[in-house]
Amino acid sequence: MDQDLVRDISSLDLTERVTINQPADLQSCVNLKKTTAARICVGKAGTRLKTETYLRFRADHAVAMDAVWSEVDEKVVDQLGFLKVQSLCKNKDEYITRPDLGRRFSNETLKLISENCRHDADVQIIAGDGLSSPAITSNLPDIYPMLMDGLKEKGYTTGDPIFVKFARVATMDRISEALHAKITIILIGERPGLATGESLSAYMAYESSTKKPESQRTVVSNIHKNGMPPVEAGAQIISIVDAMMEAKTSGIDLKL
Amino acid sequence: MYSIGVDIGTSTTEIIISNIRISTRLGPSLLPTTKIDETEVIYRSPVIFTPLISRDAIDFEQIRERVKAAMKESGIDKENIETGAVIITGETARKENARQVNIWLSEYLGDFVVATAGPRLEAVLAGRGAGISEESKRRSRKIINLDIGGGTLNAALFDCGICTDSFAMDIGGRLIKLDDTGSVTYISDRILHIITTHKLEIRQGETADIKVLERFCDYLADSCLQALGLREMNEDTLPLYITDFTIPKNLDFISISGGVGEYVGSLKESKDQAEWFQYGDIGPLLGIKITQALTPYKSRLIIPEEKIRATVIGAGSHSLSVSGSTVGVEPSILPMRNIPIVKCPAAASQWEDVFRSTRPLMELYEDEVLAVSIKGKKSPGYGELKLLADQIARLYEGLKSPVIVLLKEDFAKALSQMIRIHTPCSKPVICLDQIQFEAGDYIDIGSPVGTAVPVVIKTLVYQ
Repeated sequence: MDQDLVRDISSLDLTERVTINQPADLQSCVNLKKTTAARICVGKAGTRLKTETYLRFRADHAVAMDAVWSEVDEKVVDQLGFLKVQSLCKNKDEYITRPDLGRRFSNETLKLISENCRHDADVQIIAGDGLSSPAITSNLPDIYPMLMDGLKEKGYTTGDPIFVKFARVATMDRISEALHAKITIILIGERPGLATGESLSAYMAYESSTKKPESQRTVVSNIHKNGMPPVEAGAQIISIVDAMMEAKTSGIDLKL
Repeated sequence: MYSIGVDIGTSTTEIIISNIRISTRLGPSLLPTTKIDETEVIYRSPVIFTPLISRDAIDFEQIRERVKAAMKESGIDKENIETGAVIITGETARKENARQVNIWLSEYLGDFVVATAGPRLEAVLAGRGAGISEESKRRSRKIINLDIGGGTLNAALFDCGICTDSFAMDIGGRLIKLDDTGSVTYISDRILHIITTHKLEIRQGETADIKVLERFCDYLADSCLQALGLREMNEDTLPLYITDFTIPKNLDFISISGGVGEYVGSLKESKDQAEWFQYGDIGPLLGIKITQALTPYKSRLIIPEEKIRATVIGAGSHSLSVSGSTVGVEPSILPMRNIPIVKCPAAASQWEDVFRSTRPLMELYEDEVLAVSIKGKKSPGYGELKLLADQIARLYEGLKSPVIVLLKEDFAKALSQMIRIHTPCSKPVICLDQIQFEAGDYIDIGSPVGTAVPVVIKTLVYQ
C-alpha cells in the first residue's frame, strides 16, 4: 500500500530547492532563492512549468483558499476564555461578498457583549477569523498570553477577550463603542498569500470609533512563525500600547 | 554618526573618519526598523610609517600628535565621534607599550571606541574594508581576502557576504628591513627558520644579494599559496601560523589587500629594482613574487577596492553593527564595554540544558558582567520561551552581572518580558537579537539609536 502513496508535495521545503536541470551555477541559484519567496530557479519542461512546480503552485493556492474557507478551531478560543460572538454575516459566502455586514453586529449580540464584558478597561483584546482562520488557530495560543503578561506587568486593566466569527477589522470600532476601552486591539487573520496562509495582523486604536477614519489604526502585520514570531509581536504590541497611552492617540498621529 | 578608525600597523599608521548613516524605516511587519544605511569615508589621513622609539616601543607622543592632527584636519569635533575601532596590528601589538597606547586612544576618543582587536577580527575587518565581503555577496561566491601588511598576513574567507573562517600568519613586507645602501638592518625572529633551513645569505648588517632576497620572497609567496590550498603544505610554512587554521576548500576567488597588496596584480609590477626597495623593506618585492606565484590562477584573482587602507576602513566603517529593532534594553545601564560573551553550547532543541551546560563556563570568568549567547529557534512558542527564561534566570542567580542575552533570531523582546515577569530574577535585563556573535569573544553595547542598539563584536589581544 505504502509504495503507492506519493509524498505530500506541499511538505517539501522550497527555500533551497533548485529544480533547474543541470544548472550552470547551483550555488548562486540557492543563494538567490534564500533572498525571496518567489518561485524562481524552478526550470521548465519545454515551454511549460515542470509537473512538480505546477502541482506545488496549485497546492499552495489551495492552502490559501482553505485558509479563507475553513473555520477557527473553537477549542483554541474556548481554552483562552474568549467570549464567542458573530458578525451580521450568516455564513462564509456572505462574509466574502458583504464586507459591510462583517463590520456590524445585531442588537442582540451588542447587548450580549455589553452585559457580559467588562466596561471602561484600559485595553480590550479581540480575536477575529478575518480571511484566515489558521492564523488565529496557530498564533493565538502564543501571542495572547504574551499580551496578557505584558499588560499585567504594566498595570493596565484588561477587558474580557472576545472572539468574533466572520470578522472584519472595523468590527473593533463597534466593540469599542459598546465597552469604551481606552485601547482596542483586534488580532485578525490576514488575506492569505502563496507564501503562508497563517499570517496574523494586530490592528490597534486609541478610543476606536466608527466616526474616525481608517488612519486611526496602528498595525503590526506579518505575524507568523516564518515572519515576526507571535511571542515577539506580543511583546512589541505592549510597547505600542505604552506609546498610545502616553500620546492618547493612534494610527498616523502616533509617532513610534 | 561619526566613526573613527585608527590602524597602527607594523609598518604604517593610518587614520580614517567615516560617516555612518543610520535610518529608521518601516520594516516587513510595518514596524519602524533601524538599519545602517551607508557608510562614507569622509577623511583619510596620509599613510605614515609607524613611529617607533626603539625596536620594542611605539613612539607614543607621535601617535598622539597624529591623531590630534587628523581630528583637526577632518574638521570633526572629537565629542561627535561615537564609535569606531583602534587596531594595533601585526608585530606592533607585541611592542611593550602597545597596551598603553591603546588605553590612551580609547580614553581620548571616547567611551565607545573599541580598544583592541585580535588577528582574526582584524582579518574580518580588513576583508570588509577591502570590499570583499560585499563582493562575495554580490557574486554569491566564496572569496578569500589576504591582507598582507608589514608584519602579518590576515586572511578572512567570505561566503556570500558572511565570514566563515579566518586565520593569521607571520608573512609581511617588513619582516626584513634594509637601509639606502642595501644593507640589512632588521630581520624578524619569526622568519629566521626559513633563512636557516634554506641557508639564505641574509645577515643583519650585511648587504644582501638581490637574488637571495628574491628567493626568500619566493618562499613566502609559496607559503601563501600553501595557505590558500593551491600547493601542498610544507613544513616551513606551519610555524608561520599565528592562529589555528584550516586550509580553505573550493575557493572561487582570491583577493590581496594591505600594503603588499598594492604590488599584487599587473599595475605596479615593475622591473625597476630601485623601486623594489624604495621603502627600505621587501614589501614591493613580496607583492611581485606573490603576483608571479599566482599567475597560473590569474583568472581567480580579484583586485580589491581598498588595499593599504583596507584594515583602517574596516575598523572605522565596518566594526559597528546594529541589533534587531524589537529588543529588551535597560537604557540606564548602557553603554557597556568589553563584556565577555559566554557561548551556550546547548542546541536550540535542548533549552532544558542551558543552565547545566553554561553555568560552569560562566564560573571560569572573573569579570563582573557577562553576556550569554543562545542558539535560538525561529519562532519559539510561549511555553518554550518560559522554559528558556527560567534557565537564563538560573544562570545569573547569585552573580552580580545584569542579565545580558544575545540571540541571532528575532525574539529578544519577548524573552526579556518573560524573564522579567515569569522568573524570580530582579536584575536589569538586556536581550538583543539579530546579533552575529560567532566572530567575537567580547561585545560593546551602545545606548539605543532609533529602535535598535548599536553593538561592536570584538576580540581582545591583551588577556
